[in-house]
Amino acid sequence: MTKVPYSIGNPGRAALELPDGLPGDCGGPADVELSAAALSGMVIRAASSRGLLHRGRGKPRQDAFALGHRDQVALIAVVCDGVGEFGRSDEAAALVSRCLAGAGASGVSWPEAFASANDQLRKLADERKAGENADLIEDGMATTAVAVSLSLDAGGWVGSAAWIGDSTLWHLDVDGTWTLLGGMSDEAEGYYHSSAVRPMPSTDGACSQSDFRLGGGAFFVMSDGVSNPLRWNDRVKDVLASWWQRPPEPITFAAQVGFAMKTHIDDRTVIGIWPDGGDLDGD
Amino acid sequence: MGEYKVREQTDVEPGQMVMPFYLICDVSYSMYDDMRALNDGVERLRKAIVGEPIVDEVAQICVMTFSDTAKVVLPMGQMSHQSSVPALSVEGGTNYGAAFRGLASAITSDSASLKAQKYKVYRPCAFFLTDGEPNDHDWHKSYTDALTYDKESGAGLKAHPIFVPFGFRDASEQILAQLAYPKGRGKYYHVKDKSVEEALKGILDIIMNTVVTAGHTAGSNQPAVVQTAPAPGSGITQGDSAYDPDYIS
Repeated sequence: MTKVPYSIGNPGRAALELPDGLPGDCGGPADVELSAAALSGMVIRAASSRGLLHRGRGKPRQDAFALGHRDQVALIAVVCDGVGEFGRSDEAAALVSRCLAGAGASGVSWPEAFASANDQLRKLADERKAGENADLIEDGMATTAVAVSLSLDAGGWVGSAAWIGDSTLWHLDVDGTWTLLGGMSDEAEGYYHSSAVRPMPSTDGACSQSDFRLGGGAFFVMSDGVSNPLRWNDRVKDVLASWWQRPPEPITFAAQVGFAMKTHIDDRTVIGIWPDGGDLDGD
Repeated sequence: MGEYKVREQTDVEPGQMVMPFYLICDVSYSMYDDMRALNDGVERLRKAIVGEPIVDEVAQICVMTFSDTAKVVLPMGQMSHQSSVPALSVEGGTNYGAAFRGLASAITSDSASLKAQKYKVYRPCAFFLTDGEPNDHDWHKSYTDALTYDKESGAGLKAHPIFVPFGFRDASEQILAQLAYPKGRGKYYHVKDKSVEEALKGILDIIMNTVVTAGHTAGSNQPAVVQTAPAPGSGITQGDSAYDPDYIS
């Protein structure tokens, strides 16, 4: 039986019983990707973990993240969630995350950056579909994306977020309260739950955008593998708030991002950004 | 742990996701010679789902029968929480209307119950397994009234399922095409020269594929049920929905 180092509530049969998955294709993404970084008053942890659904089916992780900085002052953080319906969405997530991080680091505005990334993704998608014996589903690709630039100004955080699809940006304050700053909101829910999204490539790469200024707390950029249970379950809010009041050790953070919870079997990606010293008051 | 019944925590956490599937089996007189195969096939389907922890975790199954009336023989639930499926036995005529009304009632009740438990509920998928033609002449009106929804007028069942007819032997393809729903996405399957077990294998494939693609789908808010084409040589044919609300049966 697989060990479950972190779980919230009922971990579910899949987490307890599934063995490790088949290895991915040669050159494919690792099961777990992890980064730890620091930048002008900030501590950063980033982790992406292959979900149980992809492990169970021998499919690669389709989430991706990318970090960058602008003039060693502003952090650039990007999370992409490949659309599971398509076989090459891991390539889409990797490409778009790097395009957006590069553009953000160069000072390109988010609308321009998303439009450019959208063009590059469409070109790659068309190339893959034009291949001999290409299959529209197995060789198709699409991804969501959320990109954030964040810096520390006198007295607090100043940031700008942009997104296409349901990857999200959250703020965690010193009291353990989670606030959604960007990405899909609960209003989108219909009579039944649906996992349908409007991803990239889109017609023009138009993104939604939000600017913010906040006095303290920490920020979390994440794919819906984590934001869905966070939105829907108060126990998840409490547990993640307690785990992430201060920056964990990098390997601990990666294990926590992959927490087991019944039916939440999607890939998981989170970039956490704390004030240096871990004081969420921002003092 | 029993071979085909698994113990796990059964408490429900808010935000758990569930994909409801309904299996509605024809148990009219014409099914007399098929009942053993039907019972064996349904039990094999249960065991196959229990053997796939990911599928078992997300899918909840309800088994119903219909003849002159419809009834729930296995209430909606996780297959690993059941030790077996109650034996199905042959009954009376082939009243489609009774099946449609019984299914609509079960879906309405189950959806409300699952939502009250704070599940995130995907649109249900209903597999309608039949070997013949309906005895009730107004079956199409019964179907439209009970299981379809008109977005513009708001008439009908908003909680309608994705309806996947699986006909075999003497089932009419024209009728199956009228039942596949929603139009533009729904498909029907017909197993002309094979047994009821072949139809149940096709149903299992759809359940497995649907759960496996439970992650994102691109596009608008469309049902995510994956109705894959039957394998070559399987003896199963697939066709598109021809549902027409004004069809006269």
